[in-house]
Amino acid sequence: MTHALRELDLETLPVEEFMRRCALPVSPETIEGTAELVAWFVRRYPTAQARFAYIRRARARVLR
Amino acid sequence: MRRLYHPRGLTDVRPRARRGKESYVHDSLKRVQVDEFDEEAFIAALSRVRALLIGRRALIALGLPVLTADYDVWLHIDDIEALNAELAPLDLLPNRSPAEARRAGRYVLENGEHVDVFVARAIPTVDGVSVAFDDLWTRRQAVAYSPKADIVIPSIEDLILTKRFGGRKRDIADIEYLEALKSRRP
Repeated sequence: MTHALRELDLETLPVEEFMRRCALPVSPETIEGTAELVAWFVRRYPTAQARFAYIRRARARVLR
Repeated sequence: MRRLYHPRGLTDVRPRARRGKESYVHDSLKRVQVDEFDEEAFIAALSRVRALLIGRRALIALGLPVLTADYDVWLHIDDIEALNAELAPLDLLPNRSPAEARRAGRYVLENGEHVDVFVARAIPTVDGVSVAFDDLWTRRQAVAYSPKADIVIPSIEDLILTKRFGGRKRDIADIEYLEALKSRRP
């Protein structure tokens, strides 16, 4: 992740805009996609220890 | 460059990026090997005090593959000394005394890893809702970290509240993930 992207990721929004976006309903596609993603991640890495290790490796790849 | 005080008189001033898989520091004339961060011992230490893992680590524990580098912990304000004592053998060193941490509401533990520790009794969300540690602690859940240790995290509903502390763009995505996860749970 580049510095600029990281800055964007951590950018703070005005409170009204933040709360407006938080209140938006989650689409059925997002619910389904999230469920599939979680099912894959938990099946592939059954413990939180294994999931943390995967994220460490993934982050190292992104920062390379 | 930041220098970390080491209780046994060892100091490693090199940025983590410049260390190898193992790092070496000098103790008088001896060369001492410092092990990599023992995450399992860290998680086990957290489980011996009133501490909740929050932030993106908690999302990962729940099975959401999001990127993060740090650990965020919300600790009961009376357990600062106990946690520091638990983590001293791992060389995780506080940047503030317990009294200073209580005044500031937070402190940092570091040894190359970075742990943000929140110790306020309550933290407001960006829209002014006061979130109390004691309430989250009552509704906490445990997630298996390994066959030997569990991670203690807030309920999904409470994690969503903690994601409203900062008002960052990335928190909105995390809240959306958590809402999606919540909607699929009984």
